[in-house]
Amino acid sequence: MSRQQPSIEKNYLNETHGFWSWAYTLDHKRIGVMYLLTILFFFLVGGVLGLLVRLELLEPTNWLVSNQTYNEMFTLHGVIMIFIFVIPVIPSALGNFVIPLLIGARDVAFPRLNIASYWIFVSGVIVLMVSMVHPIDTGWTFYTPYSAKTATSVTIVALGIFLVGMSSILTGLNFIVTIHKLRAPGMSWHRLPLFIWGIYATSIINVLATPVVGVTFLMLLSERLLGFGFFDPSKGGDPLLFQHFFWFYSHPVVYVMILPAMGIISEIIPVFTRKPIFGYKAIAYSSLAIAGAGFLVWGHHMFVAGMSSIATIIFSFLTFSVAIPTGVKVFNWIATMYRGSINLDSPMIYALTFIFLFIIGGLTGPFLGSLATDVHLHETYFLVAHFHYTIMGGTVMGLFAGLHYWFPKITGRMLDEKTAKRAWAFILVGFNVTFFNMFILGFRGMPRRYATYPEKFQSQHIISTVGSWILAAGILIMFYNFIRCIYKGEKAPANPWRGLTLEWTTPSPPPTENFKEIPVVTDWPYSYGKRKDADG
Amino acid sequence: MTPDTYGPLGAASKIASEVDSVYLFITGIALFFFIVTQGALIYFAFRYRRKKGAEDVETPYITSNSVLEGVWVAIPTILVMSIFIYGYIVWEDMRTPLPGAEEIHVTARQWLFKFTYPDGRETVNELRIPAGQAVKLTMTSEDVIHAFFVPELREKMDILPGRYTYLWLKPERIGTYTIYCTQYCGVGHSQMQATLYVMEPHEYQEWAAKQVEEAEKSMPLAQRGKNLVEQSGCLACHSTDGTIKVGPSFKDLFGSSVKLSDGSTVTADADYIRESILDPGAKIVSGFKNLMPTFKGILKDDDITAIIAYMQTLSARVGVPPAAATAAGPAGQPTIEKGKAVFEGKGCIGCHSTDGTIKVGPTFKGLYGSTVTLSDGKTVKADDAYINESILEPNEQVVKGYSPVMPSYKGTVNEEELQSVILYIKSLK
Repeated sequence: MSRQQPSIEKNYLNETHGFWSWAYTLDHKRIGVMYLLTILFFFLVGGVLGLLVRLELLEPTNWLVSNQTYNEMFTLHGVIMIFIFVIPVIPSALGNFVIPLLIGARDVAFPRLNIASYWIFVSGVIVLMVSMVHPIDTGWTFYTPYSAKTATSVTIVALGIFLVGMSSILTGLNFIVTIHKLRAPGMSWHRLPLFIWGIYATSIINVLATPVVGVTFLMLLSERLLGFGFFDPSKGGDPLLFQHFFWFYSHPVVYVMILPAMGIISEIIPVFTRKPIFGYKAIAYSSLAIAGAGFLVWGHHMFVAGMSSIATIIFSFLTFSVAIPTGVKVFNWIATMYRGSINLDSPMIYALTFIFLFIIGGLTGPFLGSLATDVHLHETYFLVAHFHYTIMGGTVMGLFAGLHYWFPKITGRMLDEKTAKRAWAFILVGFNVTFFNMFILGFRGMPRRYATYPEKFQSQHIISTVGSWILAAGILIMFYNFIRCIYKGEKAPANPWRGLTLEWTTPSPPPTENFKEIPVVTDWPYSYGKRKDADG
Repeated sequence: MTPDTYGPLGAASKIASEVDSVYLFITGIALFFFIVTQGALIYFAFRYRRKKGAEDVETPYITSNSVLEGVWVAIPTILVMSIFIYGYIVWEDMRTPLPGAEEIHVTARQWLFKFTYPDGRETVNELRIPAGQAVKLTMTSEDVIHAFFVPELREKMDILPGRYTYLWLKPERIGTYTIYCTQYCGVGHSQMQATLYVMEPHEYQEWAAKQVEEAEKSMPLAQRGKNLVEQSGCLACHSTDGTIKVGPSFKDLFGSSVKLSDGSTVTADADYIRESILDPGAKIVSGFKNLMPTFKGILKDDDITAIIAYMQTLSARVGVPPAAATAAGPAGQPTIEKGKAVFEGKGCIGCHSTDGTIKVGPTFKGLYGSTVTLSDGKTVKADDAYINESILEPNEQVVKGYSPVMPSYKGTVNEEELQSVILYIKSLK
């Protein structure tokens, strides 16, 4: 628990200067920062699209935009948020920055591959932006035959996602090797911080599942450009085949989104409660269990798609099995808080918000996993609400917790606590007003992806739209706090939160080589509180 | 069949109320976990929050507790498995059609639903079922994937091109329900809705009878005659392929010379056939017995006309093409009725309303003669020439605020159908 002063002048930010020193950098910290800025920019773009979607829904008729424009807006909201923001943000941005620091390494295993992944990612994003000339209108799920027929730029978007996916695969590979080979002396697998376990499980999914979606998009392209008929019934193909391929990737990918966020929560809770994490092995291995079982449940997106009854029943059963390891993690976090000394600073309140919202997201899952009720709720606003509770209430709150937690390490400055809490209050209220309402809207039968809707749903749509404004205000305050504190924040000490993981043993911001000397690990990183006996 | 039979959540069938029981079951379990977990989370956060100046307070070193961990794996496992089993049992009922369910075919296309009843009746965007009648919907799509969703019945199924999916319903609460397409299908997706009328059985019968009558009116006369011949039992004694049965064959009968039992000869013209149907004993064909009962009072005048038209099509002596004889107007003459049939049958209804509602395309109500603003800012009067062009070359002049998504109907509609649609649009003031 050493408290070093930020006495070293040279750090990763000021060691070299100029555009090219960043563009060609091999430093995982700089690459992480570049990912973060790129991705957060697109988070704001996707957010504005979401606000526009909500704005149109104030009225049952097209008062703001036409059907076509609405369809393009919700598609782009989904594509940007999923493929550019939620999937890469924690692994590629925060993960890149903290993985080597957490395991006591000087960099990732393949720094050149790392910078190449970043530029592949950026080129994918640029290709996606080119598609804006004629924005796609397929929804982020690209279901055939519609996506094979629409005149919009599905071809370009598919190429863009192909590139972004390739970047994910390379980053995943890099992280797996880094975690296997570059751990500091003494850091056994059971002394590994839980964030690393989360990233490890995520990387495995990325390496195994992303190629499938790559192949799927190539098949879609060959259908559009060469007239193949994989998914076209008039040529003997099967539109359901596309859905199977798509969800074989896109279901595991929700665990790509959530596992790293769970890892962040597992880091923050012990530090801010001064307690060892409860059930370390259960949390670590449940990440792997979720990653494995996550490959076997894709069919629960297709209960009413026309799949065989037997397959439907098996997928429902397996879906419920996945609920258990997820529940175990929540119980472990709450149990860690028992008899702690809980510091309610901003990283912790975001972590608590994650748990609070994720429980709601989790408990609404069985309604969709259960066959009888899913038939009714599928493709309604209930699904939209459930998804946003798990992904925005989960992954994004986990990201916000991580950003507040590691902001001092990344920038060398402290955030303003008061502003951070003000932003949090807006986000919590705005989020729940926007999305809780949608559970009821969905039960009442409101289908998703509707530009216009029957008047009986209007009052609830107004509530959600007003909620989206509160939520947006909170996020703007949070970004204002980030930007202001980069320049005006208090100087951060090496270890502002008194954490025991290795990133806090080096100055904030860290020097380019991370550690003066590679640390030697003698204990697990959650040794808070008073031990009754000697063994750990 | 009282409105409140199926619970407070608005279920309109017995199965839907069973689904609601599953809802209540899951909600109970979810509430239990919600209270336990959120309660502990919030209670701990307040109870153990750090007071000012207590930074170095000592905390216990607790890393695990196998009993507790065993309990919180076992209890959730049992509860979620019970949810799975309950949901599965009710779903089995939802997927197993009652024996004897009436089969209705559903054809979906961008952006309408077409329903075909067992007796050949067809409706567009309007499904009528008598309360308490089980129906099985056999569904397929002509283009992209659609879905059939009635919230009050808790039923939904995707509709795919190139294969059949099914759904069965037994709505029991009389009322009007919206059928939504819930699988995203393009620009008209949110307007792809149909109406389900769950009717009193006798009202349904009246409606069905009226539909049949109207369908017959618009049916080609010879086709109606063929139906009558089949339904009235004529085929028990008369063949249509020349086989001799109890009575003479209808093949090549019309216009031929018939030798009667009294040795005389008559020409089988319309009057002869009419007489043979109403007064079969008046002229007996040589070699046959006087067995046929009269159809006086059973077949009406226009029925007989239809049967004669059918017999004409069976006869080589008269080359009357069957399609030419239509009841709704002489061949080649455009009429409003034909226009309405084309409007529904060719899918115009998927994008254009007739009541002023804005859908994917402009409404037809009040369209004719109005002044239309185009996407390039110009205005044009919606006259015959404009509507003609809009059907054959839809993207030449696109109305402001609409997307150029309409396909060309060149080659899909003939001149008669085109003029009929224009007449129909004119009639929608």
